Amino acid sequence: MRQTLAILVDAYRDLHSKMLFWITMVLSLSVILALATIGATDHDMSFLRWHWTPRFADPHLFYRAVVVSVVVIGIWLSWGALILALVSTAGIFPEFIASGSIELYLARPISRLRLFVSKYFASLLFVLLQITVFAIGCFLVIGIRDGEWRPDIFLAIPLITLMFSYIYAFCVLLGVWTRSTVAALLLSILLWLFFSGVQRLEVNLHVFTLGTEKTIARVSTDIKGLEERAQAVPKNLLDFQPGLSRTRLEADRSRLQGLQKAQSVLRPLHVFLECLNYAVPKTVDTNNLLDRWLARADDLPSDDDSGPSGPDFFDIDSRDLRAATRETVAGQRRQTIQYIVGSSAAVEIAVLSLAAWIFCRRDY
Amino acid sequence: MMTAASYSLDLQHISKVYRGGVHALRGISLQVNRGEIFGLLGPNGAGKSTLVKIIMTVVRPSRAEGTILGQKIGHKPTLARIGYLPENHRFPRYLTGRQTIEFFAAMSKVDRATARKRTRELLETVRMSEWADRKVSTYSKGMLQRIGLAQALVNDPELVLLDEPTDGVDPVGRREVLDVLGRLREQGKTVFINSHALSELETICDRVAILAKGQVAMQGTLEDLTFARAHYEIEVDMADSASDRLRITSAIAATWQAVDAPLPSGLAASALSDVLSVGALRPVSDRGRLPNNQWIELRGSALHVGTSNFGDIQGIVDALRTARFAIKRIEHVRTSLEDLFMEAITDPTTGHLATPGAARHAPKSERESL
Repeated sequence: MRQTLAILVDAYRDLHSKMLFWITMVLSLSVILALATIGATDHDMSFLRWHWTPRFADPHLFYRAVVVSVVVIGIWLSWGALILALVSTAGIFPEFIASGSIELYLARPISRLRLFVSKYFASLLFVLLQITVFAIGCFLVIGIRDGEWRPDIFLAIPLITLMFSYIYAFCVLLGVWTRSTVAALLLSILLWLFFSGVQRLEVNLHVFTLGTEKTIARVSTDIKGLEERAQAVPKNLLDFQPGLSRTRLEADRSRLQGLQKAQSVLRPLHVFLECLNYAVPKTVDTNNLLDRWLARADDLPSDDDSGPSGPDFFDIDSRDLRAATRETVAGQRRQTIQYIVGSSAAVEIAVLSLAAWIFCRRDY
Repeated sequence: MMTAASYSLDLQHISKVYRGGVHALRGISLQVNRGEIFGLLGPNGAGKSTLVKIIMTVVRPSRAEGTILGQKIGHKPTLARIGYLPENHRFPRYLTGRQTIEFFAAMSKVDRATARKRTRELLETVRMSEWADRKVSTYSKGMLQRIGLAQALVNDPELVLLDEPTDGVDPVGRREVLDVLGRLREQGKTVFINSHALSELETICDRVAILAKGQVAMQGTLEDLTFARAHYEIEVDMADSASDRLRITSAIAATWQAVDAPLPSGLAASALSDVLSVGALRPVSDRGRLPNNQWIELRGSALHVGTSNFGDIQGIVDALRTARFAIKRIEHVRTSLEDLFMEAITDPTTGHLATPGAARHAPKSERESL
């Protein structure tokens, strides 16, 4: 225990001495200050001394949905702060295992595995401290400026740290393997982009696949109706029936063919990405957990579908696309925390195990 | 009779083959007694650091038997009783000297109160108290070595392994480091030093081992190793001619009335027949051997006699005087550690010095045993 505590204190001292730690802290405080410039009341919104009334949404909803969810969580917490954290911590393991340094640690009465695990958790201290300070700031600012005290913002501390740990596990593996900070950092960022890309693409493909399915069903029903009606009408009158022309029937059949063709491409691609998604850490979904918990029932999109109809992306009907989007979002929200965190943690543990194996087996 | 318990280090058959077939160590066996200062010498790439790293579990051996402080090699809890200063160490640059010592004390499971007390004392010992609260990034190489020595001693170890402890330390600092090591010996601690500074080792080590090409080329107390090579040098006033050398040889041979003694080196081939005709000496090797089994060698104008007993050379001196040679100088020559080192790393068959670096492949017999 004394050794683990010493490693934690050492990690804190290391961070304390890093310029980037303080730069990130200053940037975090700047984001909090920027957030403090925006406020919401029951009637209007304000930016410093200027007030205006949002035309399309309730001021509180706008504050939570745009200012907090998109800017604070979506941009700063999901990317900005974490990229800076990764830059700050990518060098910890390569420096730790450098010749002249690692001998001082290995020559102590501590197992290599425990040393590795302690160092890994100590390295997460950077994000933990940064996010804690940020969460406290956000809690105060949102309470004062939005008028609602949301202690659930503190869930950001474990969630964002957890999300960072997924990526950091890969960074550690690459650092231990290549012994290079630059390689570990660049490849980790690439992997992070890849994981996010896979998740976002899978969600979008799910929407399109589902939308295509719905439109295929809709068009098939239309064609069937048209064909039934066409049989009931004398052939010589068919061309004169409004909405029942051969041209429309042929157009629908042609659209159906196109949709089926698109579906034949979209479905296997979606299945592939769905499988791939099981195997990657769910950075986006973990981040969305925070969004999900912070959102209130009235923040969610309603099931009311009064939007326009007609072909949209991939010739999918707009109504079907909206319905598919709603279903997908609902499906995402139904995903359990056990699945999101559990599957990601499983990948993280596998990656860390490999890194620990390399660390423990190597001669220094 | 020494037992395993009386050894701090009892290493047997330590071998290490790195990836790519580099044989860093080839069956090292050596013993370090409790309470002694043991020096490990060897040219670059001889395997010294690898051996120390194996002891400290930094490198995994291909084969290792024996004990460290009575425990099997690789026994992690035993490391709490060992202090270690690696070569080219890199302490965390963000720590102060005091924090560095306290941090590694904690890593060695020293409780906080003891660590603080020991740190204070050791900072005094290595004369770094004044600089203790400055970052190690501001330290010179010598200061880093002092802090390194302090952190190696912070757990009050029974065995201290030091890899080049005086590297980069100024002469005053070197003397202080050696004094510290001497005091450790007085306290009954065992010190294992890996160093190139032969003159320093010579003054402080009780025993040494010399590694060459991953093997122990020589091992023993300095006294034993140097005594075996101590000799008298008798410089004679003579011309560097075959006839003078023949006169000397004949005189010595007549004195001893030797029959089978080998021919001392330096005799010209033309003189051989004359010498052989008197039956005094027989050409066998570069170094001759007298009937009392002392070696004798003629180098230039000096006779070298393998004895440390002044009485043993009286007969030779008499023989030379009888043959009317004037004796210019008689000196008892002690072998230095450097001489031993050079001898150990010289290939006896070719006379060439060992090239730096480990061997890529072990001899066939060794490969079979691994």
